[in-house]
Amino acid sequence: MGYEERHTNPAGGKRPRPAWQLILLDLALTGLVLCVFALFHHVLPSVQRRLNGPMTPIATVTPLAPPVETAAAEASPEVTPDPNDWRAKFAGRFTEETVVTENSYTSPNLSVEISTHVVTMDNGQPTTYYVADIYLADISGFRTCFSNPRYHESGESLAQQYGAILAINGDYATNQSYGLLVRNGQIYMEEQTENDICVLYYDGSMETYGPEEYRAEEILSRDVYQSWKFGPELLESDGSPKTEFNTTYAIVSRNPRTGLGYYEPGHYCFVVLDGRQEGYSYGMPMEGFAKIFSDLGCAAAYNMDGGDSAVMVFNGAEYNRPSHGGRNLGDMLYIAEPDTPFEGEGE
Amino acid sequence: MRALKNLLPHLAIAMLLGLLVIAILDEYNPLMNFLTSGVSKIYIFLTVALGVAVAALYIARCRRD
Repeated sequence: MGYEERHTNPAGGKRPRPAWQLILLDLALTGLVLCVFALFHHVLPSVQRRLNGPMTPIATVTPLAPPVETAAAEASPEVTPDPNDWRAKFAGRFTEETVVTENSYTSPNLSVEISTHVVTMDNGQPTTYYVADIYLADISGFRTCFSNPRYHESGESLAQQYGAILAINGDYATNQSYGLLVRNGQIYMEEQTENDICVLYYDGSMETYGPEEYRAEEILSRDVYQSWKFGPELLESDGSPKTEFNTTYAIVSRNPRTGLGYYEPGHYCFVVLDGRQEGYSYGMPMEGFAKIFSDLGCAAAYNMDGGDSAVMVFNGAEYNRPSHGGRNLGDMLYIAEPDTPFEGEGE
Repeated sequence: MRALKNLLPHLAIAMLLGLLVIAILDEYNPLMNFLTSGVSKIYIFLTVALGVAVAALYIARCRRD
């Protein structure tokens, strides 16, 4: 007995369903299956996160005290500048009073200067990106924050809430259940990952790790201050731009982008590149983005979440033009005066 | 029982098409863990189990016929 015959009744009075009906039925069933999958994969975990409240750290990194000067060094008649004293090292960048212009901010503790760049792509379309050059007197000026777990917030709203002078979108860490997640010295997660990892240490150095180099225990044995897990890393160890990236084609292809660059301890840059807006900014593939950091002279650079998330906020207002008006964010990187309360402080 | 046996192949088609959609989504946005989350692993397991059940039923039917 064939399959079609089984759809007829024994009396033979009922014809089998036409094929188009069966196809429609199967497609409707596929939609139902995907809805059930989305419910368990997306909606219920999100509700659970809301019920759990803000992200809670599992441990705190306590930075070691700086090394004590030796007697020999004290006895030396020559005064050698301390490379860990960023205030002295970058003294020329800071000002005694706080000075704010439409594209810069300087104070006794930090210096931020934003420059705008326009390049012409192969197809003749312009692409616009913003480079924020950052000097810090203290690592505590470099911070991160999470969005409210009940409702994600816009970049402007988050930056204003935390007193950020300069802020960029982060890596959407709240949406990922893998990798190393350390924010402001608090450890939230230490899981395996196939993604590239970026780590900023309390001593101001920043390093990127491929999956084959990633050892959470080894990394956490040093004083980790911040970590990100979106990626990929953009530069080779000699500072040249990478041409192959540990991510998918969809992420490597032309997009709006956000990235973090590192020159030396205390000196960093945020780069936000607009895209998907013909006539203003077309967007750039990952290879071109990596070259920007290499041309800037960075020693290490790391790609954050991009697309509609790519945003730079300066003095409480959007500085770039996010595609499709931007989107609400899960987390941000920001620069603030050291006396500004950290996330959760003073609440 | 007959209704269930008739439904199983359609459910298998739906779940396999769903798996195809999820695999394509994962290719575009791997950071959403479409193929690697706990829910996805259960989904893949159920799809495979269903595929085996449908195949076994088909073989049994062929042998009977």
